[in-house]
This record gives sequence, structure tokens and C-alpha cells, in this order.
Amino acid sequence: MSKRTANADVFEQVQDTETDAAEATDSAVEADAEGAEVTEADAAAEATESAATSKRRVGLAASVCALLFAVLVAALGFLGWRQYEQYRINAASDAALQAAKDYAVVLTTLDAKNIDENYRKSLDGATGEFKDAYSQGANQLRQVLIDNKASGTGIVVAAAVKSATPDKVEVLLFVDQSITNAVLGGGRGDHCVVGRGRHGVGAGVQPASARRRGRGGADCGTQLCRHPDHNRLDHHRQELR
Amino acid sequence: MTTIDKNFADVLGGATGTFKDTYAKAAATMRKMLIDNKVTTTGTVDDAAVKAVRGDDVDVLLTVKQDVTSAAVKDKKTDYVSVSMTMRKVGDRWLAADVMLAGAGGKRGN
Repeated sequence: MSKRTANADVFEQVQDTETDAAEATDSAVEADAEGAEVTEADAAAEATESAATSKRRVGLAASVCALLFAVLVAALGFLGWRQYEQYRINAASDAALQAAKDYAVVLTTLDAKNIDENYRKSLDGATGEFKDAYSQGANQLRQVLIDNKASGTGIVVAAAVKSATPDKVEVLLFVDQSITNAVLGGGRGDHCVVGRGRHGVGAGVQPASARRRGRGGADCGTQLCRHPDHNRLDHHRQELR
Repeated sequence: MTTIDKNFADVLGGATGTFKDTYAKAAATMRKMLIDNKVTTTGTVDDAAVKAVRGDDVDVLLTVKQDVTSAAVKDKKTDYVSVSMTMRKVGDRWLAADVMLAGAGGKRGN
């Protein structure tokens, strides 16, 4: 714009110069304005962008926090549940162990003179398949016991929980049983192992199965674990509720 | 090594404390008696439960099915033996520190 042909007159030159100057000023102003606009636009864009970024960051942080919180809550819930489950198992173990010890005495202590009461108490503390088997065995054995004036006294010498869940506990018991009858006369020591006392919640602490191992090796079965004389297991039931 | 000596070695190898001492002392007498009567026994654990845990000691109750034959009793005789055992952790092994037989073994007051 400042370059002019050599043949241009002075006036033109002056005018041109003026115009040039004005134009230059204008364009400078325009340029400035444009520059300012560009800067503003850039700044605005940048601002928008950084606002979006920080919004995204906040969102991400919130998500991570929520996730961590959820994981924490879940972990605490799981631990709490496990703790509670363990507590229930321990409580069941203690109650069932005591119930099994008491019940083993019920099963191994009898007197032919009092046989029906013995049976009643044995059945009262039993449940499930063991109760059925005991009922059958008891009927078969009843007259034999009476005819032979049999009596027995059991003592639990050792007991341990083999496995436990909140509603089923296996107990291993060593029971010494001294028995008398018309043939033997005086007391004869017999040792029997009563296995697997179980109980179900709701049904109370009641053996669902019992096995007896006796001297001579045969699995004597439930019909030999005849007698009772025993207290109801009410307090254990209460513990379980 | 004869079978009986290997049996004894195995028992002593798994034992510690007072039980090991007692067993070692009784072994010589037992050895002669077992050989003279041609005794063979086979044991199988029928049932077991942990009774108590006390530090490095664990009390275990076991019922062991034991088949016995001897010169006198040719036909196999089966007993269920009630065993109360105290296991102790020695190094990385659990060894028997105390073994008590109850009942069928005749150890308890008849």
C-alpha cells in the first residue's frame, strides 16, 4: 500500500499518504480488534475447556469415591456377616456340645423299672432319622430289658465338636457305661463311643443321629443306645433361639 | 529292619515328650510279647474331632477301628478304640505328646 508508481502527483501522494495512514490506522485498529477478539475467543474457549476438564475430574473423583465407598461398605458388610456367622457357629458349638453330653447320659442311663420314662426322655431329646430308628429299636428292646432287669449308668469321659454349622453340629463323645442285669448281676464296665449328635435350629438341640461303637467291634446301632433318664434340653433350646 | 522294629521306629518318629519316653521304655517288653504271640494289628481312624487348642498343643479325640490277629486268636477280632491324643507342634511337624486309650483297650476301670 505504501508503494506508489513514480508518476503519481504530490497531491495524490499526500492524499494517498493520508489515506494510507488512515487505512493503516484502521487496519491496525482492526487488527487489534481482531487480535483482541481472537484472544478473548481463545480465552473463552480455554476457560470452557478447563471448566469441562475440572468438571470431568470432579465427576471422576466422585465416581471413584462412590466406588471406594461401595467397596468399603461391601467389605464391612461381608466381614460383619462372617463375624456374625462365626458367632452363630461358636454359639451352636457350645450349646450342641453341652446338649450332646447331657443327651449321651440320657441314652446310656436307664433302669428297666423305669423304662417307659427313660424312653420318653430319649425320644424327647431326639429328632430326624435317629428318632425314628430309636423308636423302632426301643420297642424291640423294651421287653428284653424288663425281663433281664437291666440297668445302665453312663458317664461322658470326653467330648469334642467335630464339625459345626449354625444348625448342625457333629460331636464325638467317649462314654463309659456300667451296666447290670439279671445275668451279670453286679456292674460291668462298658465303654461306648457315641458319635454324631446333631441338632437343628427350631427343633432345639436334638440328636438327629447317634452311633454307638462298642467293645467287640460291631457297630451296635441305635437299639443298644437305649436309655434315657434325662432332663429336657430346654435351656439349650433357649440359647439357640 | 524287621517289620516290628520299623513299626516302633514309626511310632517314635511321630512322638515327642512324655509319650515318646514312655513308649520307648515299654517298647522292649512289648516287642517280645508281640513277637511271641504273633500279633498283627491294623488300625483305621473311624472318626476324629478337635477337643481343645492350647497354644502349640491340640487335644484330639479319635475312634480307631483296630483289627487284631494273634497266635491265640486266628480269626480277626475288631475293636473300636477310643483314643485321646495331645498333638504338639515341633518345628514344622505335629507330634504326639500324649496318647491315652479309653475303653475298649481296657484301660478304664471295669
